[in-house]
Amino acid sequence: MQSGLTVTFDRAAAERAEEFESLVRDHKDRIYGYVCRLTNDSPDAEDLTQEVFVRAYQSIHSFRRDAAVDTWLYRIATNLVIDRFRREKRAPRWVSVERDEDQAALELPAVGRYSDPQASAQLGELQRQVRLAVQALPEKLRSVVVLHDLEGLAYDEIARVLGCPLGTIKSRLFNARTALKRKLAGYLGGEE
Amino acid sequence: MNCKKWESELNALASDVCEPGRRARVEAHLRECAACRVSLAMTRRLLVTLKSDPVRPAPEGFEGRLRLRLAEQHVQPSLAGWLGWTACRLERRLGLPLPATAAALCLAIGLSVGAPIGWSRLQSRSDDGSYVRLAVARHNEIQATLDGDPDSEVRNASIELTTGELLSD
Repeated sequence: MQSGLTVTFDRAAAERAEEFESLVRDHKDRIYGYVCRLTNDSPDAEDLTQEVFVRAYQSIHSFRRDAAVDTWLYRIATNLVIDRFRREKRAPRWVSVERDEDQAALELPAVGRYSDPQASAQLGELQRQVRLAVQALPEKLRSVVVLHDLEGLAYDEIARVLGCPLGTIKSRLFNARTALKRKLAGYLGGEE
Repeated sequence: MNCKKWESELNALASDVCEPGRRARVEAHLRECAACRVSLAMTRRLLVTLKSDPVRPAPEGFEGRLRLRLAEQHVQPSLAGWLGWTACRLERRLGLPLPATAAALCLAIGLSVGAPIGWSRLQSRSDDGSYVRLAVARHNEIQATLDGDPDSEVRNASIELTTGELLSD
């Protein structure tokens, strides 16, 4: 009888492992891409993404049935990245949108594969500038613009990921786009 | 011209989330305002550039390294967590309401775990002289009778006799 019980528990454990592996398979690229975008392709991106799934595994009980799996994972990833930045005190600096002359602020420490000159050369100049400008946004604006304009989440999904009211999300997105447009006026054809 | 009040409308228009009534008003304003046309074009160009940002697939071997990490850290979620998770997934996939899914899961878990435990306890109690021993003994007698003579009258008589004994006890 003991062996029957052991078999039952082993089978349940195997099913759980299989279920989790399918979750990782389905979402790893999306979450990794998101972490890369939040961290300016930091070399830590893989480590952080793995940590997202470790936390998801540990706290699977906290998954709420009214949330999509994506939203739940984005939430874990966002909190993790913010924590990491705060802990290591190397969050990208806040660039005041009122001081366009502060171009130096856009010259963030380039890390990761895009600091490679060859890789950088392959990217369009506009794309590169946009990426730098996004990285220069304060974290609250950056996460909204990345989730909405890059990851394609709807306002209400972002509100759930970030735990903010819908109005806050809309206003942050507006502020983020305004900041980006001012910063990139020369590249977006806004200078007359 | 100060067009600050139009900025949020232009933003909504660029995102294609502008309601028809608002859209008509913004378009009317755009016909008259060159600055807002430039601003809208910039926003649209910005959005196109953001959306064209290349996707970064997870590095090769990601899943293997994650598996290793989970094993090294001995990470284990609670059983209750997995039950909740599985119930949510079933609810989404099958369209079953959560209470029904949870009840079915509990029943399945109860049967697969509880039945073996219950049976083993029943067996162990039959060794200590409890009422179970009488039931098992009577069952064995009936079975022996049935094995020897499968005639239905004998079977019925045995069952009636045994039931009466058990009730009187």
